[in-house]
Amino acid sequence: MANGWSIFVGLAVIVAMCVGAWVFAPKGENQVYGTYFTISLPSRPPTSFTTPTGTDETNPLTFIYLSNPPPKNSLWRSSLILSFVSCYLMWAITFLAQLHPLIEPRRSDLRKDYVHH
Amino acid sequence: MAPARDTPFRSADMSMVQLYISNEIGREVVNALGELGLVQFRDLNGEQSAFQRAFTQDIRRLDNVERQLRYFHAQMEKAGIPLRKLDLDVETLAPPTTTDIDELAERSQGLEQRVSSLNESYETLKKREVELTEWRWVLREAGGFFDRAHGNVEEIRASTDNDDAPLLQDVEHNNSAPDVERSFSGMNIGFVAGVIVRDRVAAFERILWRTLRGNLYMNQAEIPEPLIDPATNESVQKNVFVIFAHGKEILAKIRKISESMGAEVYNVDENSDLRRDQVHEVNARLNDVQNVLRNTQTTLGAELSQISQSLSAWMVLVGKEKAVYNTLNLFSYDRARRTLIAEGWCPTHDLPLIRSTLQDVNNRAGLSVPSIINEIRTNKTPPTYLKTNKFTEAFQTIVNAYGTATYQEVNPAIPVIVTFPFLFAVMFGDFGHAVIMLSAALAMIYWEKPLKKVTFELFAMVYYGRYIALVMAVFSVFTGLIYNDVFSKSMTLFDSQWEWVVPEGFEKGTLVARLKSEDYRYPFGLDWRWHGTENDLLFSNSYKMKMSIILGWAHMTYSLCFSYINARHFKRPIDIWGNFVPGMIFFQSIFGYLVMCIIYKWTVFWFDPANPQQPPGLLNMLIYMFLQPGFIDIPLYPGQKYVQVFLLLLALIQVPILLFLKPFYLRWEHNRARAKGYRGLGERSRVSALDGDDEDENGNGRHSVASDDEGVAMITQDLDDEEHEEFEFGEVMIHQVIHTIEFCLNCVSHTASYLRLWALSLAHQQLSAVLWSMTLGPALKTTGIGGAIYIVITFTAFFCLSCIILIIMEGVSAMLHSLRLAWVESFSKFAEFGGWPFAPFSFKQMLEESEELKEYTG
Repeated sequence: MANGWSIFVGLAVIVAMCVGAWVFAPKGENQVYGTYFTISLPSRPPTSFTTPTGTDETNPLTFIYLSNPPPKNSLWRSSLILSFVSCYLMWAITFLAQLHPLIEPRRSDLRKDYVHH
Repeated sequence: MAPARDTPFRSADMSMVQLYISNEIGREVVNALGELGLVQFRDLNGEQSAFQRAFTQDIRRLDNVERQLRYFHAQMEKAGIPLRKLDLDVETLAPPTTTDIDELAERSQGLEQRVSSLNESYETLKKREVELTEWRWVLREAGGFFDRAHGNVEEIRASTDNDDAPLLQDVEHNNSAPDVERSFSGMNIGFVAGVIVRDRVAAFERILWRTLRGNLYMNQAEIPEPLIDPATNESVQKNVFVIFAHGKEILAKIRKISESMGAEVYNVDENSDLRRDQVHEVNARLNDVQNVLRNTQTTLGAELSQISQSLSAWMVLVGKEKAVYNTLNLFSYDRARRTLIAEGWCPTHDLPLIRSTLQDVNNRAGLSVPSIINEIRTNKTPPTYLKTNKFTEAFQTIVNAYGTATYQEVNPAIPVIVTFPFLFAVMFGDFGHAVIMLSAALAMIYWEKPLKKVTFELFAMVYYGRYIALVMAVFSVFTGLIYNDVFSKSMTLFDSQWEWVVPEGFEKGTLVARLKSEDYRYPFGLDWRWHGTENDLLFSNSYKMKMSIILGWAHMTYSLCFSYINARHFKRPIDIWGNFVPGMIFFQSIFGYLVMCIIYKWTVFWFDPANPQQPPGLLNMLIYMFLQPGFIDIPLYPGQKYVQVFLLLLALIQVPILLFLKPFYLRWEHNRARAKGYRGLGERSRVSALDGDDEDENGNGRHSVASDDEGVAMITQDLDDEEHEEFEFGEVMIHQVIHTIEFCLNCVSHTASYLRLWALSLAHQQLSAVLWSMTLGPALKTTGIGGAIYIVITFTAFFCLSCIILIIMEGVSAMLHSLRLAWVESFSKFAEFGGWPFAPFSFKQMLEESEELKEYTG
């Protein structure tokens, strides 16, 4: 069941998970934008964020602001992938350390009834 | 193509902006920007003292209002009226208009007068009341003296008149004059009655005795109830005294002494009838005074409790208003043109938001003159602004505790979000403890809102790091499963890969396990069969030590890669070729090789019956690699000799590259530029706007600076700018030498430093094993009712000690070690930490940070 090839199977699983994290990481507005959008909401109607106000239309900066697609959330992506890789690393190390063990468990306090479990 | 929006990966793009605001709406604009909290204003009046600035008058006025409000608060505290605190999460305060503030100022002025006059009359009345009470006591006590004294006038007379009378004569004469006139006036004896603080009685007596040479008769009595001193509002114990003496002068002297000692002298009539009248009168007056007093107090209380309803809101309003004027004082104010000019930093991508905010304020004010916001170019270093949300905030804080990242370099907090909790978990790996910690973290997140109000400092700290705790706990659950530890016991989740070799007729003795099958290994974590064995530590120490080295290597390699990203971002290819590449090769050829060897050694079946081999010691291998290149103790793989010598040479060659490539390249580049006739920007002149170049602005006069076209394209002399320094080869070389030595030595010491992962996880596991064996372990062997009680007691001890020692104390220690690994081992590989923090003008931040306003906001 679990033999030396498991390391590579595990690797494949982790790579798949990382790709999944890359693709399916929460998209849309990065969470960090939330903080100040809420601050300004009471004083202004929310529509003014999506439609340019008449006087500002000529301004190149406004244009950039509106045409810019919201970024993928790099925070989710990097954190998820990093966590997967770290956890895989630890599992793989533990697995490899027991693959060809140099010493065997040894104990002398076992009862007769227990040893066959 | 439009640049990407700000991400937490780097600090936000910043722009220096210039604002031209009409004077009338300056206050409203700053108010709106304060609510927005995105602009950090620069001080354009550096040469003016605080008193010369334009809005100092307004600040003074607000200071006065603030003082009045604080006075109300003090009065409320004195009267014991609770303050209604302002919950800023629930209630929002509308931005006040100038008339609101004026009204508030007027109102608090009026209230202050009213409260202080009420207070004054209250104090006067209180004083009167105390006096009357004292007088009543004097009348009562002195009356007692008189009644008693009338019985033995003769005795007094004898002792005062006849100094040289023999003492025994008293007895003889005692009954000789029964019909003597029973009055003091007849004896020419006067008296002084009053009240004195009990502590001073002894001194008072002594002084009287000395000055009058004993020519007095003093009587005193303690007032049983404590009296209240109206000045300090403290209760004091007092005594009533009556002093008899003869002669007007002596009486006057006594009066003076008692006054100087702080005693109150009251008028008491000798005649008992008159005295009775006096008592009646005093009682009546006391009643009146007490009535008035009660009325005054209720009026004051009503007034204060009315104030208490809105005091917090006023305080916050005034605080905000003061901050606004303080900010306005940073602006350049042109009285003639009635415009305010402000300069500051703001995130480039938020410019549209700021722009529309300005527009809004302008529209609302109905002003025809628009407010202008201008982006200006500057060669000053922009501040580092790392946007956070409630999840990243705590992580960012632990990074900022170390330093502020350089503008636009990779935000060190990004890898920390995972690596810090993960390395913590490697040290804290226990499933049971992790689950307790996880539930605590989840509870704090679930009850986020109500718990936010808790002001207990220690808890507030834990609460602030609740998301860190959550991630740490999640990783700890994972590492706990890997270590197969739950409260130091093991879990039998899967079939073991070991079985015991049991000899025939086994009764007792040492058993050795063997692998069940060549093709089955324990699939997840440590095999539970190791638990409780004699050579358990032998195995787990070797495993954990190697794991620490591998994880450390991975962490440092990962961190080093960020220096490549930084060099690419700042367009410094020499940092790639002169620092990153040689450093990486150096590190990998020694420690990368070590890690490869560790992994390779694990994969080899050393005790293959077909071809048994001796497993080499990796530590010896590494030592021989340096001390005796080419000598192989026990071979790990064929051709090892050549590989090791090659790698060693490769590493050694990197040292001179690290040392010399960058400085010499920089020198070459500099000389080439000079040869072509270019000179450094900072050496001559530059294009700038209002950049705080004081020499220039002073030269042109403060007012002409505001002229629009000149302000933007002014040629200024900028000699003291820190950025375009003269190229100095020596300095660059020294920096590089330090960097090289540090890097090479740190590769060794930092790798060794990761062994703390092993040490702490060993300590944690052993400590929890000891705790088990000292509490619950022996208790589980007992039986009967006594055993049940014993188990309950030991379980309580076990659980409490687990929480206190193993979760809190061990957790803190593991956290500190993990913090060090992040700060030192990881950050030193890529982060410069040469930035300065962005501190925008923000009401939210101001209210959060102000200690003074904290007691008003709930």
